[in-house]
Amino acid sequence: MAFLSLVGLVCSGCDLTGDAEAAERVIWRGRVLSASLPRPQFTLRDASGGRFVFDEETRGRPTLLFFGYTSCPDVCPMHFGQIAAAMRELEGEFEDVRERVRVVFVGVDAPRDTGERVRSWLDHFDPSFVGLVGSPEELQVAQRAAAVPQATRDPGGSDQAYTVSHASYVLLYTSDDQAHLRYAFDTSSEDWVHDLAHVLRGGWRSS
Amino acid sequence: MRGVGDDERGPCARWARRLDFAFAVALLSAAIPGCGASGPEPAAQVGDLIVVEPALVAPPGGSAALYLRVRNEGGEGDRLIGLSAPIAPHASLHRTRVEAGRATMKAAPEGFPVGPGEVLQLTPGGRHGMLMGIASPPEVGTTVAVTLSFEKAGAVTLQVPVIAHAGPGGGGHEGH
Repeated sequence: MAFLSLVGLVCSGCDLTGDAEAAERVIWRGRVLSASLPRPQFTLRDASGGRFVFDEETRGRPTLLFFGYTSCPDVCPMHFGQIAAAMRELEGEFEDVRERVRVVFVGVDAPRDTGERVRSWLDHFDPSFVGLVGSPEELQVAQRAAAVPQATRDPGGSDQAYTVSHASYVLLYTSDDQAHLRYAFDTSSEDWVHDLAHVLRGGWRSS
Repeated sequence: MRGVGDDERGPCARWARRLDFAFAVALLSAAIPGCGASGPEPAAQVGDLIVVEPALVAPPGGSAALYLRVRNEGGEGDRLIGLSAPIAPHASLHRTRVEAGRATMKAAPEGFPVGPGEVLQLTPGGRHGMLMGIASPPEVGTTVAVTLSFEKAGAVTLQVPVIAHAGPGGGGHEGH
């Protein structure tokens, strides 16, 4: 007991819950944002056309948010392949991981990203992932609310074959309804398993 | 986070770094050619250029990325200047760049050089071939014909295996 009090004294600045694991330092694999971002308020449509109020639907839950497009051959499938693999692996420790963690993909390419197409794109990775679509104006509002760079159609190509520039990273909101971390597109499934397991066990802490 | 994109490090360092991607592991299988004593089987050869480990990532949308490496065993530089595939009405060389948190795909109509003794790498998140407007996506486990055009060596057609993302349709790699 004397030892524990000593630890308490030494660690008086830490958020010590008494649980040894919680006192363990977390070195996040994601990039820690210099200023956290609040869970954004925006409304889009889900694949079946229903209104999806992002902050209400996801409040209090760990949530991954990504703005991409379904014709994206490189960055988007890389992110989602790794996230899907991580979810499968996390199922071992957290059986209900798909209820606890929401993974949200917003299709920013309004002309081509229909609800149906976003749904079938996501089903390729994990049917539990949420797909959202909207008008160009609604998508702009959503990206502004999330404080990510606005997606734009790249010059060149044709109306059937063009590329889109968009935010390259995934934001992770934790149960405090803030995003403290973002993930570049070379994040591996192992990195996701590491960070999500910490978030599921203890929520966000700065280190 | 680790940096991405084209860097000036050697190919072995680059591959080793990318290896912590399960995705890349799936692409590369076990061997890292050029870094060990024996390389993989050439998928195609034209002149002194050896194409190894081509892979087309099964497209959930209408676009698919082509990854491969080209080893130049000759004494003269060459350049990959284009590609085409019967399954896609549009095919081009592209480069993914990330700047200020935005991912941008830039067409590279000038192509990609491959100097004598060098290895040109088309990899996830970097230089790659892109097939667009694919009407009927190919099945994982099948192969797709792709023709690569080089400035000096000319054209070569190879059969490129269609591989999966690490998604449920993909026979999941789970592997580290």
